[in-house]
This record gives sequence, structure tokens and C-alpha cells, in this order.
Amino acid sequence: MKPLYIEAVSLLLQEASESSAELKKELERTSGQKFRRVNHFVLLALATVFRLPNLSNLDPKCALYIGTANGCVRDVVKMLEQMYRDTLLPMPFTFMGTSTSMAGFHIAQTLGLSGTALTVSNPYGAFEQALGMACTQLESGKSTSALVGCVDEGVFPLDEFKKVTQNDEEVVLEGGCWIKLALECANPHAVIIARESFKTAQAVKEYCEKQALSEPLTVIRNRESGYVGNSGGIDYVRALQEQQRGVIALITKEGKSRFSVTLTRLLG
Amino acid sequence: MNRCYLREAVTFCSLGNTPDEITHGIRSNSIEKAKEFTFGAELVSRQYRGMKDKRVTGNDKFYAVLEQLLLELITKSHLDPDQMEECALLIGSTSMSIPCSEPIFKSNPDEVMLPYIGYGAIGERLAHTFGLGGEVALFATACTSSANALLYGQTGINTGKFQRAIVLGFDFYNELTMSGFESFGLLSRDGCRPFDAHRSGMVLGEGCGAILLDTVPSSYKSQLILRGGANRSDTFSPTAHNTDGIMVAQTIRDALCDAKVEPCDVGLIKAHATGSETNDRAEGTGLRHVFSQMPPVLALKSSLGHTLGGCGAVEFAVLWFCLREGFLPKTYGFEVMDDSIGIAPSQDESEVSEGILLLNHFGFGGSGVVLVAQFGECE
Repeated sequence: MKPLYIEAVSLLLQEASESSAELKKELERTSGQKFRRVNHFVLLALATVFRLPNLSNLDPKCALYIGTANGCVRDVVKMLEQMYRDTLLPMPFTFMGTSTSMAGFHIAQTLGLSGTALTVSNPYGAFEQALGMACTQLESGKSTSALVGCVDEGVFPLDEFKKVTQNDEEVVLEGGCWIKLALECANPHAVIIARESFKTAQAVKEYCEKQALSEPLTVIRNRESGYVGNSGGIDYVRALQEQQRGVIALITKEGKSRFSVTLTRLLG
Repeated sequence: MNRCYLREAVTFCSLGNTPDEITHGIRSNSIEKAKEFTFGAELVSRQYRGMKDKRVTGNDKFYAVLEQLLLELITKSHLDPDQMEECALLIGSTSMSIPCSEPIFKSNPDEVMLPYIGYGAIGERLAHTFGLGGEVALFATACTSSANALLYGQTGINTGKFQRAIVLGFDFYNELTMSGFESFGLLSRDGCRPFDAHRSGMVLGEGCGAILLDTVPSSYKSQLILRGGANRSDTFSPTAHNTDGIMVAQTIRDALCDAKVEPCDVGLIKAHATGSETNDRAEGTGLRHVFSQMPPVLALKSSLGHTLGGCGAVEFAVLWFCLREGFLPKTYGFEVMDDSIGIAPSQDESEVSEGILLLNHFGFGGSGVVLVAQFGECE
């Protein structure tokens, strides 16, 4: 495959909060803009994006891929409560907020992007799904750069939310992560060197063992954690932030009998 | 590069549940039904096109309908277990599983409840049920969701990422969606009239469509090949494309370029055409930017209702059934041309044997997807 360069990464993890005030404050500081009439899910996505450096020089055709495990479920609950508990007229703003693709819209609008913008999910790893699609898009030459991320929010009451999402952790974390991916990059942070598909977990294991013989390998696979979404992307970006050298293997289950391994070499 | 054939399609919609029922229904244009729902404290009634003989209420019926749809597709396609093991499942929907959660909320409004969540759970369950071993992905891009799934399926087959993919698009009746569109004042009280000077909004509908995209041609005499497409984002407004039509036109040009087709090659446009003031204006203006000589334009939402995230798959399947029978249906609801747009959809049924088709989809969140397909007795 063509090498795909990771220019920058960002991460936002916070204890699930009913208030969006801190996110708005952070966004005002990092983006220089005030965001009104956007919901918590969109604010989480925007705040994480604006932790990326050098956003002003993005190509307008930069593609946008957002993965999410649960979407903007907080506004779905809010609207159902308005309709059935309070018998109020649903507000257009709340209905609009139930559409998960609004996060992509606001990011594209704020950054002046007009290319592909997709919000996707996958039972095994939403970020990994978004990353796979972005890699295909760049390799096909349809785009030369992409922002790839994931976002998920906690829903209150948290005890109920933990039951529905089978989250056993004491602290529920929400937020997301982003990477800036490009075919060419002057000062890359890391480079994706291979994406391979396998039919069995054993084949994945053997491939990783072979890779580990030549250089230090950090293996990341989706796991249960306090994070409200799929944690693979969060762990991947955290490893990109914290490690200086070696190769990261992001293992993704894409289907019942389909696995992919993305190898990313850190460039110090 | 592998060709992407439409190998088989099944859809359940307001016109019927089989190709024969649907092509008969589209020729006779069945009567629109009304749905009553509570909007605040007021009981309102709006036209709605529900699925024929099927009701989706609650978790069991939700999955029963989707499983019946996929079972029919797999049976008609004669997919064997090895082929299913290699088959991707690409899903597009707007309401997802809200029809499962809503009745529970409604019957227990004072209890704390969260909806069934986990977007990927739908794909995981369906893939497990049918032994589909390939990639499972869900697209959440509002009304372009299943159109995006079709485009991704086409790209995946062209590039050899997978041999075949089932694209599943659906949206079922729920009061949240009806109330939401009513809150925007987008629901028509007197029917969907695409591109008409007196259009007054949308009529929502429900439906589900499953399409098998494959490197192998269909068993029918005529083939439908998905040649390419494009998706772009218009950031003019979260609820509508810019009525200057520039981004609509750009998306169409990108799609034609991807499919290596010139505007003069296009023989039919299946418009998105919701019947709303701004959507039809943006789309119509965009089409006029691209086509100096306008090909025949067809709008299906006045027959099917707007099936939202499912419309990409449902309308593609319905069009395929008509093409297989050698006819292009007429567009219902259109009477008076809006001179400021200048688009007159097809008013009579016509014969068709081959040609290049453009399929438009534009939705909330500025999402636009245009697909290009080729119909005919291909080599």
C-alpha cells in the first residue's frame, strides 16, 4: 500500500458530564468561535478536532470520517422525554440534534471543508471502521488528506446508561480522538505502512509475531473499558501520543470472520 | 478493476413487497394513507406511506421484517454458505432502532429509560443470523445513509476489497421522526408534488431495501452496473443545500467524472425530489448548472413517500424492478412547472432498454451523494 502519513493526533477524554459549559469554553479558546445551538455530542467532536494543530491550512477537499458506537443518543432521549413525559412540542433544534451526522456538518462548516464527510459505525470498532474507509479513499486518490476520528457521549442517568451499554467501570469516560492523515506530509508524526486482512484470529497472531521479530511492536485491540464507545481508537491515539518509536499494530475485527491489522510506524 | 453488478434486490415498501406488486403499484399509484400522532398536546394527522401489510413495533418485529427481507434476498440470489462467508453487510438508516425504543417510552413515560443503542448492534445481529462473514459497517448520514452504503459497496467491489456486499437501507415509522419534521413545518398536508410550483412539503414513508452488489452479473437478461459516484458536503445550512445549486452541481460533476461519463451521456435522472421548497430548488438549480439539455427526470417520493436513510436502497430497487420490465414510471404529483426551477419530471410512462442513470440523494447535515449506473444488456 501507499504510505499514509499521520501529521497530528488529538485526544479528549473526560468524565461523562451533563454540562457542556467546559467544552464551550475550551472551544472558544481553541477555535476563536462561539458555538451556539449545537449539542453535547457535536461539542465533544469539535473540541477534540480543535486540539489538532495547524487546522488553518487544510485542503477544502480534505475528507472527514467520524466513527461512533452509539451516536448522539442524548438528544434522542431528550426528544422522547419532551414528547411523552412533558407532552411538549418537540423543538426543531432537538430533532436536528438526533441526527448523528450533524457533528460532521459542524466540523466541515467550521473548517471550510466540502469533500467527503461520512459518519460510520461498526459493532467491533467505530474508529477502526472510519480509519479503514479513509485509507481506501486516500489510496484510491479521491482525496489527498483526511481527518479521521471517533466521538461518543455518556447519557444520564449514568447507572441506566451503564446497564444498557454493559459498562462495568466505576467512572464513565466520554470524548473521542482524531488523526490528521495525508498522502504527503513535511513533518509526519507517524506513517501507516501496511493494512492486511485475515480470516482467523490465529493468522492475525502469527502476522504480529512475525512483525515483532524485526522491531518493537505494540498491539492494540478493542477492549472493554470505562470509555462509552469502542476503545480501540482511543488506545491507538494514546499510543501514538505517548510512544516515540517502534510499530503499533491496530487489530480490528471487521466482521464475523474478517480481521484487519493496521501497522503504524512511529517517526520519533 | 472489478465491475459492480446489481445481482439481486428485494424491497418492502408502501407499493408492495414483491417486484410485481411494486411495478403494478407504481403504475396505479396507491392512495396515500394518513398517520395520526401527538404533536405536543395536539393530535395531528399527516399523509404517510406505510409499508404494505407490515408493521414494525418493538424489537421483535423490527428484526423480523429485516430478517425476512434478507432471507428473501439470499434465497433469490442462491448464495451458498461460502459466498455468504465472504459477503459484506453495509447498512444505512436514519431512525435505526428508534421504532423499538419509542413504544417503551410511550407506555412508561415517567420511568427512566434509555433507548436501545449501539448502532453496530443491528449489523452484528443480522450478520450473525445469516452467517455473513465479511465487513459489517453502518452509515449514519441522514437521508443519504444507504446511498453512501451503495457507494462504499461499489468502491469496495471495484478495488477488490470484497467480492460482494449486501446493502441494507431502512427507515420505519416512528413518532419522533414525524414530530421532528412537523416541528420544521416540512410535512405536506396535501401530498408530495416534486418540482411543482405549488409544492408544499414532504410525505414521509417507510420501507426497507436489500441490494446484493456482486462481481457476478444477475440472472436477468438486462444488467444494472454501478459505475461510480461521489459524496460531498454542503455547509450552507444543517437542514438544506444551498439553493444556488453550486454544491449539488459539483457533486454531480464529481460523480460523472468518477464514472467516466459526460453529462450528454446521461439518459435518466432519478431525482431526490422531496417536494420541499428548498430541497427541490437546490437540486433543480444544480441540475440546470450541469445539464444544458435536461435528460428525463423521475421522482419516486410522490409514490413511495420519503423513506429517509433507506431511500437510497429502496428507490434503487424500485427503479431496477421497473427497468427490468422495460419501463420508466411517470412521476405523480407534478402538475405546474415552477418557472424559477424549470424542471418538469416525466409525466408519462415510457419504454426503456438501456442507458446511463444518475441517482441523486441530498440530506440533512449537508450530505450529498450522487450515483451513476448503467442499464442494458452488457457484455
